[in-house]
Amino acid sequence: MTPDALAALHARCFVTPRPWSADEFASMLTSNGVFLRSSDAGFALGREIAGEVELLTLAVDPDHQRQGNGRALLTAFEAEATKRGATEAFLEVASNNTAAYVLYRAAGYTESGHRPAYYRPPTGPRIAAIIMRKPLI
Amino acid sequence: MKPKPLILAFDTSVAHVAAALLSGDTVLAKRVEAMAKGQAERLFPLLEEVLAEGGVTWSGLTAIGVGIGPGNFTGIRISVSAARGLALSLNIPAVGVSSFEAQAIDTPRPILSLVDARRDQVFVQELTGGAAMPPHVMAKSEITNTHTNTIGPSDTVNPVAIARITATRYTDATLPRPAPLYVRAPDAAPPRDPAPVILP
Repeated sequence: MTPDALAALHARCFVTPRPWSADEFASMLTSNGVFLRSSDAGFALGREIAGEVELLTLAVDPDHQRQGNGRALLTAFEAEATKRGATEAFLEVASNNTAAYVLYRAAGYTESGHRPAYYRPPTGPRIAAIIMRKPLI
Repeated sequence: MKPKPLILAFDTSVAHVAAALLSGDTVLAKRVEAMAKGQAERLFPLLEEVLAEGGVTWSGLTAIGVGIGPGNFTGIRISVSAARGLALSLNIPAVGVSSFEAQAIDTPRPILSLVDARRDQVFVQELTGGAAMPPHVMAKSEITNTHTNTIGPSDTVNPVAIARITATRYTDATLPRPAPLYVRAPDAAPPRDPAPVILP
């Protein structure tokens, strides 16, 4: 997927955290350790450094949600991370994003931290971030 | 032989007044009365009845256990303030137990413990067996429709569970005094004169 396509899909999926621009995707894709896994329905962006991988973002087109696409992308993300030598995966999820939280938990991630008032939505109170981790081996 | 610890536990965090008296592993008395209003008036008469049923008096108690919610704002304050007052006057420890822990007392960890938060939401806390993660609020439909390990939400809190958890903790001198567990900011607008601060 091109940076433009990534940004277009991201904008369809996220309000908070705010969607990333094509320029931001382009620069992200060239940074150290960053990798992309995509499908017809969405994409996952990861960054592996020194045995730790972070799920930077995971987006599934709203028309293709609730069909296992997120789970498949998460699996592809983990497979690539393991191939690159990661032994532990981390991610952040907004505490009001129940669908994503449930997906991560079902995939074996557990809560490892909390960042109160981390995300700033366009309106309304700030939203906490939940940090989740999963050992990959 | 050391006498068995005698623990009185109670909860008014949901629409009930619930109390239990535990001696060692034996439940001497347990009462749960469904009630949406009048918990403050009913609490102490009920506690007296529970003590009488167990054949004990206030001075025989080893520790107090109290449900700290989350749940009904006023209900939680009724019980927590009662527990603190009793602990002070009887000079025995009081232990705050959350509904997350109480309902999951016999459940293997890790478990996602859910407590009703109204408005199609649930309070969620992941219990790992290690350090407790802070609870948060989530959409009820999605989280209760999944196949991950969850327990709750329930519309009651078992006072026996609160008493059993209290029995494992009351000897810890570093334990903070019971305090309400609200999770969500109150719906009511702040009064002009702010409410008294709950001491740590």
